[in-house]
Amino acid sequence: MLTVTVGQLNRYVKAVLEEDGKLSDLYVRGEISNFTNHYRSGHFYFTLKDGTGSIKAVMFKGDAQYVRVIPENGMAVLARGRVGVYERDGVYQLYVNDIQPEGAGALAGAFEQRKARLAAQGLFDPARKKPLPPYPTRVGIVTSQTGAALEDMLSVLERRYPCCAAVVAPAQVQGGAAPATLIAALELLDKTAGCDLIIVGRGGGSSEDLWCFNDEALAHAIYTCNTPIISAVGHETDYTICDFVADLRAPTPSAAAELAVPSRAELRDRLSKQRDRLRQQAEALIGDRSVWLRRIQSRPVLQNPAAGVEKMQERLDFFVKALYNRKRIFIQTKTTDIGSRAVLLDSLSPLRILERGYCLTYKGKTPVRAVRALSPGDSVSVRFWDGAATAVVETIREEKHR
Amino acid sequence: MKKNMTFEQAALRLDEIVAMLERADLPLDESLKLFSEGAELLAFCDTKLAGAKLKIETLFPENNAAEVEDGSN
Repeated sequence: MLTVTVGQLNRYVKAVLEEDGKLSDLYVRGEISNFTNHYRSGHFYFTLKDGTGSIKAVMFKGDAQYVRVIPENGMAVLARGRVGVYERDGVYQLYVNDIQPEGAGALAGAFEQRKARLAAQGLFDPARKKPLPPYPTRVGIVTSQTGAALEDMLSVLERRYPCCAAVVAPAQVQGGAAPATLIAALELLDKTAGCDLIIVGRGGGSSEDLWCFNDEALAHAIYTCNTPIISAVGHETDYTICDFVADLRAPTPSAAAELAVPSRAELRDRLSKQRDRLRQQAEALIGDRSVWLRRIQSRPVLQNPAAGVEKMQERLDFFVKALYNRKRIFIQTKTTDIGSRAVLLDSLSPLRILERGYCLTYKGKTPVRAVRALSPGDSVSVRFWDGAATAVVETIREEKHR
Repeated sequence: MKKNMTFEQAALRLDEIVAMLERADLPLDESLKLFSEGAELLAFCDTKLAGAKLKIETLFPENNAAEVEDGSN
């Protein structure tokens, strides 16, 4: 009877199993359950089962990152690996180095199932699709740094809209590690790079190669992204979950770049058309006014402005002459007037009357107008044209006629 | 013209100005104002579209790789 420690036992069992050539490399057929993809470590942990039993399985990052189709629960697979013992827990398990979906329908079935589930969660809701900015200044690109897709996209951006910046966040675009790197790159661009939109994609490949773009965590990352996303995975005929969640699906990476930016040549065409239209309007505006100006300029008054002045001068001269005339006539008239008045005045002067032989009698200083103003004995003064004489009234004889 | 205008805003305003000048019978000084704004916008759009070469930046996400552990689930 043998007595050993736990450690010794496990080590022994492990050695026995590993000596067996059959167990060192074999294919195991089964269905996946309890699948865990450790995004941080990159390892896959799962259980393979069939109708009769199950076995734990692990696939380390070194192999998992090259897996074409990420396994998922319920998927029928063919796993290749070796049988080994995990001494700490005393369990034997399958160390898988390659895994493939088994049967033609396995992949399509898994895809449809997942698509239906995510659709039910509202991830493909058209109302949630964000509009793309018409004139992006920073275009984010999540793809393989070494793929032709990146070159294609950059050359389209360069040709079409070199006035923008391309911000590339490299990621793995196939294999088990791809979803984690795609998500990390996407989040980096979304949160810190100030991109107006992000293109996520890769060039063509088999549906197994593109399988990582069907990843559920990636779908959720795209869904929660704040930046509009164009999905461009594979060729025109390839559809991935990523295409359904993205705000826009492009048939190829080059097409995504075309959709992402406007054509600078077209914009410049448009600008130059607008420049022409502005110029036309300006010319029309100036044209209208220059017609008006020409019409005004053709008026005689502006043709020979001096003519107008001359005419005015003539009129002014005429008025001035007329005025002088008036003045002269007026003065003449007045002069004549005064002359005739002087004659009249003269003719009315009492001295004139005295000249004709009449005389005036004064009593004191008062002219005597009637005989009854006098009494005999009154002293009077008699005024002649050439002098005066004094006299005494002798008699009064009043005549009663009149 | 406003400061910090985007290309989009400038393009929209330019459309508006051309349409106004073509449609409306505006007073001369109004038209002249629009012309000078239009010319400014054209110049602004030209500068936004300038640049002979695409700028390319590369940002590397934090490495996701973690230690490989000989563990099971």
